Amino acid sequence: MLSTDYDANSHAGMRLAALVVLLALAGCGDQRAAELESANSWSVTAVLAARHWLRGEVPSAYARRTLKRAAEELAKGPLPGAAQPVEELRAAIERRDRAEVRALLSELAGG
Amino acid sequence: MKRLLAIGLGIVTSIGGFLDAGSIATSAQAGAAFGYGLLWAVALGTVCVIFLVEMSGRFAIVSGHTITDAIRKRFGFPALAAPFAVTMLVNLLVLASELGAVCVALELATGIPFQFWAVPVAIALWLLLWVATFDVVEEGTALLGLVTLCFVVAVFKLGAEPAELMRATLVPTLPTEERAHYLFLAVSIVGATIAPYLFLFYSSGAIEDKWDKSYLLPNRVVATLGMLFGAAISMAVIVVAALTLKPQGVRVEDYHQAALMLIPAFGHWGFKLFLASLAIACFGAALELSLASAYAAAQTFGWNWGEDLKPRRAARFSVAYTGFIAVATLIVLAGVNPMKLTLFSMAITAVILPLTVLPFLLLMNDRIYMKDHVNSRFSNVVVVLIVFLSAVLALVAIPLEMFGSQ
Repeated sequence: MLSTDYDANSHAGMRLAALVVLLALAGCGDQRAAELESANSWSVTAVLAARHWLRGEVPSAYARRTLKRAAEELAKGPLPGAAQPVEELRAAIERRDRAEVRALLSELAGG
Repeated sequence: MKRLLAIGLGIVTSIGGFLDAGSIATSAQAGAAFGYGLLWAVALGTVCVIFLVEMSGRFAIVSGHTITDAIRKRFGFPALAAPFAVTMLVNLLVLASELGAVCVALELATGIPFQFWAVPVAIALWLLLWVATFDVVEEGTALLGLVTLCFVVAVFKLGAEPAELMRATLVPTLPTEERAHYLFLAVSIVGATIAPYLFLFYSSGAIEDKWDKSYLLPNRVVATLGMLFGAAISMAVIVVAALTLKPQGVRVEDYHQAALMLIPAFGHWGFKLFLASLAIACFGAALELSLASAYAAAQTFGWNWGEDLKPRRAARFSVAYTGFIAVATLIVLAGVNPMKLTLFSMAITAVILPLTVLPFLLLMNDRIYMKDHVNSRFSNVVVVLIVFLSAVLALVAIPLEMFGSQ
């Protein structure tokens, strides 16, 4: 139950992370690899925070701050474009628009 | 019966007071990045801290002195000056990271940026030190700190494999990638486990509580079991991060990420338990650190000291912790990432360990102070080996981490 839920939880995160990695497939060194790993980690964090918010497991204040932080980190990383979907998620949570958050997460999962 | 109660309370307070920002940050990052791979580092640090805490209690009981006080009397002020200055500087950084972590817990709960919490948290800390007695500070926060046992419960709920945990604890392994970061985290974990303030605080506490020779056995039992069970919580943080964050690819660079680790085990309670653990453990550590630093200052300069004394009877002691808290608050207000500050403070702690530990070991082998209770050769060798190994590794690991070499 626990692991299944968490696997599902991370699905969208994995997709977003894969997108981040795919975007940067062109050869990169160690430093670049570390930056990509960090970007991957922040994108998964953003998706997990949004999923947990939908389930009422974390407060809105936390979800907003975490997504803001994730968007900032992604924006200054190797792939600033990855910050955009995270920023959209944050804005939807800000409006407490659960349907929009759900839609954005499924879009990422299906993407 | 009274002794048994004292032992029980001592163990409980050691467990509740074990976790702090250093343990939480280093363990969460280690588990998320390397799985169980750094459990051995907690075990190594714990062996050393058990010896050091037992020694500091035994020293206070047999000699009637605290460590700092005795170093000043035995070797003179000039010998104490350099270790004192360095220890104070590191204590200041560690206090800032504890305060910062409490503020981050409040940020996670409310969404208000952590810098805004720095002054209210610092005032609460100072006020408690100003009005409370030593027992309230030590036992009150440690009993509340038992909430950190939720990490141990989470290990069972998440179904960690005991044989695998045992193997990772007893057999150190080196990863094929990111060796510099692995080494840096290993020394940070050792630094977080063998925090010098812990045994300096313990020896001052033994004097505050007026321990006599009848406390020799309770001291040994409390030091061993308390530190052992406390370390189990640190290990549990590694295991939980390894089971919940690592498989997702979440690397803990910030407390916002660490806050997710208990949710798979406890649902919405997981988030609340993480915040409570972070806030209480770090507030308790900040209290102990402020006191330990004021003790060290007072004992170095020969001032009146004692948390049980009214502030006006130990004015310079009270001014010392007030100033210490004020400067740490300024560091938090500067907006340094509390988790990064914590990790570097812990690694630097590992570097300075020999400066704090060696003079203490000399005293522990001095029959003028210790009479028939001097250290065994075995305990001397174990502590010297671990402390020097950690310091050398830290000297290598810190520049590698700072300049990003892999």
